[in-house]
Amino acid sequence: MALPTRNWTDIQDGQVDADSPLDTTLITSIRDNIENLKSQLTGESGTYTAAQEHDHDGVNSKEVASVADDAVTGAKIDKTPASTGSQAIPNGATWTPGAGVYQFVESGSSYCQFEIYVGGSWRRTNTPGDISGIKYCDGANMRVFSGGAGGSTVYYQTF
Amino acid sequence: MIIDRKRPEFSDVPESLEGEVLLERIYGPDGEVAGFVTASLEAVRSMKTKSAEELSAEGWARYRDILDTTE
Repeated sequence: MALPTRNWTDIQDGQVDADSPLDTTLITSIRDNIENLKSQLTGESGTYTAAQEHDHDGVNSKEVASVADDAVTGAKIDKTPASTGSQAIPNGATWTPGAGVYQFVESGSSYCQFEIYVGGSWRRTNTPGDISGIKYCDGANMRVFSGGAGGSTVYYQTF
Repeated sequence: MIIDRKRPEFSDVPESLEGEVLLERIYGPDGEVAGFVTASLEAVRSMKTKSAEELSAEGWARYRDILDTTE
C-alpha cells in the first residue's frame, strides 16, 4: 500500500471562526487532508474506479492474515448450540442433514449408522447404534442411515 | 419420487442422492432446505409389501403416499 503523499493536518477551531482569514495555510491543510484521505482510500492506483480498491491483499491495503492452521482452539469455538432438534428416520431410510457440526444422540430404540459418500458410493459404519457424538456434515456427503426395525429418532444440537 | 437432478424440482438435491427416493425435505428455522430424508428404491419396494401396521411400526406411515406412487 502506497503511503499517503500528504500529511494529515488538524484544522483548529481558531482557523475557521468568523474572523479567520481564508489563507494559504488553511486551504493547504484542507487540500492535504483530502489528498491524505484519497491515498488511504485508493492505495497505489491513486484513482477512483468502480472496483473496490481495498481487498486487503497486502498491495492495495494492509494484508489481513487468514486464520492459520491449528489456530482455532476450543476456547474460541462458540459452545452455545446454534439449534437443537430431532429427526425421525424410517427403517431403511437415511437422513442427510444440512451442513454443520452436529452433536447426535440416538433414542433408545434407534440403530443408526453414519455414512459418507466416497468414490461414488455410500460407505457405512459397521456398528449399528454408533452415531452418538460430534459429527461434521457437509449437507451432501455425510448422512445417517436408520436400521432400527421401528425406525429411528436422532436428537441433535448444531454448532 | 426418484431423484433426478436434471429435473428442476430436484436441483437443490446433492449429487450423492441421485437415484434415491426423496421422502422429505427438511427445513431449517430460516425456512431454507436443511436436509433430506431419502431411501433406496429397494427399501421403498420392500416397504410396499408391508401392512399398514408394519409401516407404522417402522416409521413409514407418513410416507404412505410416496410408497403408493413409487413403482
